[in-house]
Amino acid sequence: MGSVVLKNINKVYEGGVQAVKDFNLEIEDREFIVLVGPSGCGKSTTLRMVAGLEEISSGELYIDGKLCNHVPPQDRNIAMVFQNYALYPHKTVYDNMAFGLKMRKFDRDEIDKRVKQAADMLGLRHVLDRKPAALSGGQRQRVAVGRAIVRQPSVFLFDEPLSNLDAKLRSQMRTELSKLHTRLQTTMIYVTHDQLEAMTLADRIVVLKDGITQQVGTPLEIYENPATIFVAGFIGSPPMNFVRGRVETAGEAVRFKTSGIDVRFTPDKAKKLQEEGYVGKEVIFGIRPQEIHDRIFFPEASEDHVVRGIIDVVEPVGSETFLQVSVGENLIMARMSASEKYVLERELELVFNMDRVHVFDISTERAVF
Amino acid sequence: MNEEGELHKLEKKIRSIALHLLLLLGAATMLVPFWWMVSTSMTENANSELSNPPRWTPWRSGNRALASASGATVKVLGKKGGETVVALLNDGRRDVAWATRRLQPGETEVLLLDVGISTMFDRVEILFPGNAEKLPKVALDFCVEKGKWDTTARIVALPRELREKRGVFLLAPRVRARFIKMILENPGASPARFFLAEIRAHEQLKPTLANYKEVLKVTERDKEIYGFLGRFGRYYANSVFVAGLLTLTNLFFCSLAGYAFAKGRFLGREFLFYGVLATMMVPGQVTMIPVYKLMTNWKLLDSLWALILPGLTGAYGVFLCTQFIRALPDSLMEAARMDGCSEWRVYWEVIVPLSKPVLATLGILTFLFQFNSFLWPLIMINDEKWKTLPLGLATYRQQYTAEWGNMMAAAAISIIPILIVFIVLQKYVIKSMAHAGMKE
Ligand SMILES: Nc1ncnc2c1ncn2[C@@H]1O[C@H](COP(=O)(O)OP(=O)(O)OP(=O)(O)O)[C@@H](O)[C@H]1O
Ligand SMILES: [Mg+2]
Repeated sequence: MGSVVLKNINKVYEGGVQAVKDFNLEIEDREFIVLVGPSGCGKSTTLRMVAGLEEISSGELYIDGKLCNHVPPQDRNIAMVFQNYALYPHKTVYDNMAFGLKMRKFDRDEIDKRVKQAADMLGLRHVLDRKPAALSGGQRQRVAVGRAIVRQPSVFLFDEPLSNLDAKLRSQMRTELSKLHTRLQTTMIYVTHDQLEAMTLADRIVVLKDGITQQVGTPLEIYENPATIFVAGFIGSPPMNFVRGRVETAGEAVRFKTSGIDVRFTPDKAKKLQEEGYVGKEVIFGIRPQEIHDRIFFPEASEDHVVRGIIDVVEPVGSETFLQVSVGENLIMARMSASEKYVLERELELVFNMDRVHVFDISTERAVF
Repeated sequence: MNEEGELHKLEKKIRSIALHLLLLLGAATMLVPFWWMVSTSMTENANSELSNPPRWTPWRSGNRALASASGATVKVLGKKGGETVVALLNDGRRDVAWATRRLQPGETEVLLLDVGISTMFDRVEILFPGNAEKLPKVALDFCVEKGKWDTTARIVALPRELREKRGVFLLAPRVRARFIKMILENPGASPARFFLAEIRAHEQLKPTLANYKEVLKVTERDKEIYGFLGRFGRYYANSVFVAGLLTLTNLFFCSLAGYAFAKGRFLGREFLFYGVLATMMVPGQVTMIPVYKLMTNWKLLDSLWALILPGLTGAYGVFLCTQFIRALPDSLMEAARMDGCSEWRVYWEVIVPLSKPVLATLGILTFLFQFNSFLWPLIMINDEKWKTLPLGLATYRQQYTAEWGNMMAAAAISIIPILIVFIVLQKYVIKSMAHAGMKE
């Protein structure tokens, strides 16, 4: 059991900052939900409202079908892992983990059993009688998780639990958390500003910006069909290229034109543009660096998909090479195979994968496709 | 480069040495009064030390104690039941002080010398000028209190070899005496007139706990007034009780208020906090009279409640705790709340343990302040039974006209609780508050 329903949730802080605006989400039992967005977008606020640490200004929160707006945190059967872990510095690892159970008056044997079990699961058996000060960052993180696990809550909340770890440990813990979810089969709500974490962990992602929900969907949905410019730019690394230009028709064809770029849309996309009346209008055109290729590898590519530019920056990262290519007045980022050698200032012919391009309305910033 | 490094090292060394010297000097300065207190408290007969250059150790030997009386004038104070009462005057100049009247053969003269405050003798020397053969036979008696002669100190022997020195040495064990009874006897065939040139008392001082015993002594009369603890014990118990209780209440109320001010969210928090701070600006003397009146109205004068009630909590402590608790991360409290703590539990399980450094500091400060507090008890307490130590010590002073040995012994005993409090709490003060488990 662990369904969470947020209905028209708003949060206005004293002083008038509206941190969360009309938040709606139905989280099913056992789902792994990731709230993602840039700093200050209201992720933590949302999470803390679910936890009961922050008052809900308006709206309704249901946990397991029960209205919980005014239920104090200790009665919500929810556990939270804090960004700074918030381990009790004066208690040993064992007592840190046991504290929540003690406060809930579990009997000793049960506490001992659960703590040892969690410690085994997290590889903390040998540090149980240490104080948090004597632990490494990764161990502290695990203790924080352990403290949540032993309570066997119906919902886990994580507030950027990995942001204090170094890159390697972070990816390791990420896998462990993923395994943990499979194992515990409990609802988890996870906050991060790292889109990679969001993509790898989530069943569903909620993208937030300035307190407003941008899009809710599975990682793939969000990656492939971003609903707004913001989501498109935020999810995926390196970020999507955005170019401002005009949709024009040339006979049958619908083309996107701007300085240095003149490409033809595929028929279904062209139809959509025509239907929604974007022909002749300014739009934002988006394409991911992964969908741009070197013409050498696609010699038969139609001239309608080719764009010419000059290599501005070369960033080899080993497995692949990122190029910044100046096309007319625009800079385009492209991901290339590492096997090819690229030289600065050289002219390059790029092929756009026109099946995978996006067009956004310039005023609403919402995606046409 | 290398040379520069060497120079740098040398400079560092010199600095460190200078710093240490300075610290040692500071420590020495701080320790001087303390040492004087301990040393005086262990000195017998400490008073005689006070007039002349102060002494720093309880050890010494030589012609000290009555040396000031050496060559003193012995003055006839009057006759008292056949005894001539004389006094030693400390002018220390004149050679011959006093002559007995002419003694007939076989006659004895009894002199009573008042040596002032009770003094410790190891050896008393009486010097007679003139013909050694004609010296009288002398017996000495020492008296601690009037009417109680210490016969163990009685010595009648006149060692022959000393006579050549035209003086008589009389050896006595360690006696404390206020009066010396001297019996001069004329053994000769003809009347004789003796001149007493000088009386010297020698003392051999060793550290002693006699002063402490004296202070802690419980007489029957004390028991009647003060209960089984006796006078000093009663003062002591009063002080420890008041200071101890106030320390506990201060720790409790200040940390509680500090938690509320630091982490609570309620209307008027800032206003109330500054209100509390503002009370720190009001000098105690201003509130003294109103509080006195209040205590009188409540009929609490002459009871320990009059000392306890006004000091239950303090603005300074609240301020100290607030500032400290404010720095504790909110997430700890939130974690505790999620772990199922009520507000009270959060305070008790998280705030209190993490506030140990500030609580230790506050504890020491409060205990010190209350234990040493003088003015307020002086105003509130007249009843002997409810006096606190500082008040009691002051009475000692008036009563025994500067019994320094006793006073210092009392003072030395009275700092013990402070020392204990400090030793117990200091490790929390020094232990830096490790916010481990938190990553900043
Ligand atoms: N206690 C508070 N009082 C007033 N405003 C607040 C408070 N806490 C947060 N805010 C504001 O609410 C907005 C959302 O904050 P929130 O902490 O939810 O952001 P976040 O998405 O978690 O960001 P980050 O990734 O930096 O943690 C921010 O603009 C922040 O300044
Ligand atoms: Mg946050």
